[in-house]
Amino acid sequence: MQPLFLHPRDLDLDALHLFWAAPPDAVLTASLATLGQTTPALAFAAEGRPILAAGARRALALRERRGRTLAAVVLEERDMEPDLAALPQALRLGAVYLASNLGRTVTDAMAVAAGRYFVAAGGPEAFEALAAPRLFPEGDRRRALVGQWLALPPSLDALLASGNLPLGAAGRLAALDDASRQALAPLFHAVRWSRANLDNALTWLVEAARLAGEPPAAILGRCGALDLPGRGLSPNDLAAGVLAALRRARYPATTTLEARFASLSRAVTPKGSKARLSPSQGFEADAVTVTATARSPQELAKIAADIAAMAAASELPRLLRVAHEDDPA
Amino acid sequence: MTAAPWDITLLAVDAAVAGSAMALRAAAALPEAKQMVLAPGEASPEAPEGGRALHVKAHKGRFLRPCPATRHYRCCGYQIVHIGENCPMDCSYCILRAYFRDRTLTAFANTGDMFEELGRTFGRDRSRLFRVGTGQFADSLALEPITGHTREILGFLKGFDNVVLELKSKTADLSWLEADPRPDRVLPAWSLNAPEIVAGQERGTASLEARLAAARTCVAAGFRVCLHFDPVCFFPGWEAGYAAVVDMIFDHLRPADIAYMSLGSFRCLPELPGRLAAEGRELPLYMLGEFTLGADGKKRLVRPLRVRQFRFMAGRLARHGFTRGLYFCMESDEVWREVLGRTARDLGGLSAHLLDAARNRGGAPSCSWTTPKP
Repeated sequence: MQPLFLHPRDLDLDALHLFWAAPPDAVLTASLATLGQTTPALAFAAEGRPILAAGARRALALRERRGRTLAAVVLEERDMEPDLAALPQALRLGAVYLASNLGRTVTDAMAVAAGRYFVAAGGPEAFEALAAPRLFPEGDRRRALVGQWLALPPSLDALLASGNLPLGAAGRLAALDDASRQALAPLFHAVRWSRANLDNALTWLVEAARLAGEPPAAILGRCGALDLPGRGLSPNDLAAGVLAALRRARYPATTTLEARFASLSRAVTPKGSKARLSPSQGFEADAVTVTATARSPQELAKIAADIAAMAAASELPRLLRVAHEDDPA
Repeated sequence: MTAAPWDITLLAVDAAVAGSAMALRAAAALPEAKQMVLAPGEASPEAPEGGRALHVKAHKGRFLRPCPATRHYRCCGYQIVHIGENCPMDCSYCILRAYFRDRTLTAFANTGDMFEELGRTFGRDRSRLFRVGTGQFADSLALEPITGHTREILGFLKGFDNVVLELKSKTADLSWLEADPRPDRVLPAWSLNAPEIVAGQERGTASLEARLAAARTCVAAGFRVCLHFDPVCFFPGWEAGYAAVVDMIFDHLRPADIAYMSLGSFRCLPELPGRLAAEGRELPLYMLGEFTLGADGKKRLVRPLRVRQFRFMAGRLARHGFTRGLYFCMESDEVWREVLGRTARDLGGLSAHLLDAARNRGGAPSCSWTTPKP
């Protein structure tokens, strides 16, 4: 290994193999200012300028300090283990970069970024053989999920990094065709999806499309979900609204019954009443369940009066027959 | 399917029934199958060549048992004569998928024990009437050419005027007619479905045409028949599909030829779709309907959609003059009332009503009310 002092501006810090390169943080910058560089960077000898293999953040920080060089050791083939030396240069650089980052907490987005690099350099096998064992402990389920994610268009990686899409949805997203993913893009950008919510949303969309014999994009276009992101809703309300729109598309009869019931029960229940009406299980019976909690005789008397008012409400017969198909909403 | 009937490549017979008439008939009917006698406690091995095993054994429990109905819905009161388990046909909707985990077919060969039990029950009070059937845990007739089970039962039942036997099948097998049963005490019955469902979701079943032709043959021989639309499936285009099969019925039969007919909406244990997925099958469209969990713990189509389908079917049947003898399998009073304007209780109970329809040519007179609500 040969020590070398490199000028940071001579190094290509945008090289693809530095897939986790990020701007230096204040702690690193301060440390370099007070203590100097305590750990050498790693470089590969190459024709022309050496290639930085690890130490990009240090190099970036030192660029800001005039006249400072980057201390590096240059790794030559004779210094390498035979397996590493036998790799093509791109994979060798990737493997060394990963090895130099061992112990670092790897986010889902970082794992995918590494995966993209290795797949581009050597195919999925290279990811499995060289990257996955360094990224994930034995038995980590993220290994398979990242493998699935890598089948997705790279344009979705930014949504993973921003937390809008969860890695756990990789399989579901991969099962969609490109047109469906493109149609969903506004919702992917507007909502931070939990895995459960995204699972539900995609299941409902795909099943509604199958039932209608139409592409998912067509269902999406008319269910109203795409109109919601521009309405200034809170994140929670937006997610709930999108899910409700997709559920309506998937379950029109059930959601119609639920809406009818909600509307009629509001009309039947006195304002402020503690008595609650709920439908029979699955709307199977022409019946409602009344529930209430009383903490005093007075509360109970009030609830009893409310229930008496409910019994006399003109809308109650319609509420009891809410599941009758011939009763219009 | 290979040349072996129902792809049966293994005939395993328990030693206890190895000398039974049924075991001998099965051995003769399956000459190409591997045949073996199982010692007491010995499990049946895998069938060779990826085929199916027929296990001929003795049944230890009761042979006559009530239909495993739930009290939450109206049951027709069908009583099961337990002749065997599992079915060689493969229908994606079949409840037997949930009951039996493998493909092994079972036939109970200790018919002597069965007839002793049935004789005690049927003979105790000859004025007590029974409507029984063999098509609950198995297809009544699928294995008939191999086991001759039904022919044995029909021979036994000739001595019991108080028993009507319903033979429910999706085959077109009529070999049971060789037993020369009483036409007024046997009701051959067929399950029917929309052509799309038969073509896409049933494997190994006879065509609709063949089933209805078999029904017509039975009518010509003096029998009345029963028809069962169970499950009625909700899928895009169901109206045209069910209209077609209803129309087809009356190309073959007159309304008076049909003792009764049932409609049962598709319902299943919640795990059935998962099991299909595990088999690598795409979930059929009808399983993507809007389901709710019924009071019996099974998934069933949400009520307004069931009512819509039942009204359509009842109306179509009425247009062909079939206005009596229609009933619902495992439905609520609400659905009965919504579709037909009355409940099963209004008939004096569905079980008694169907028993009357089963025994009396001309049908239960009280069921003329079954003209559907407009």
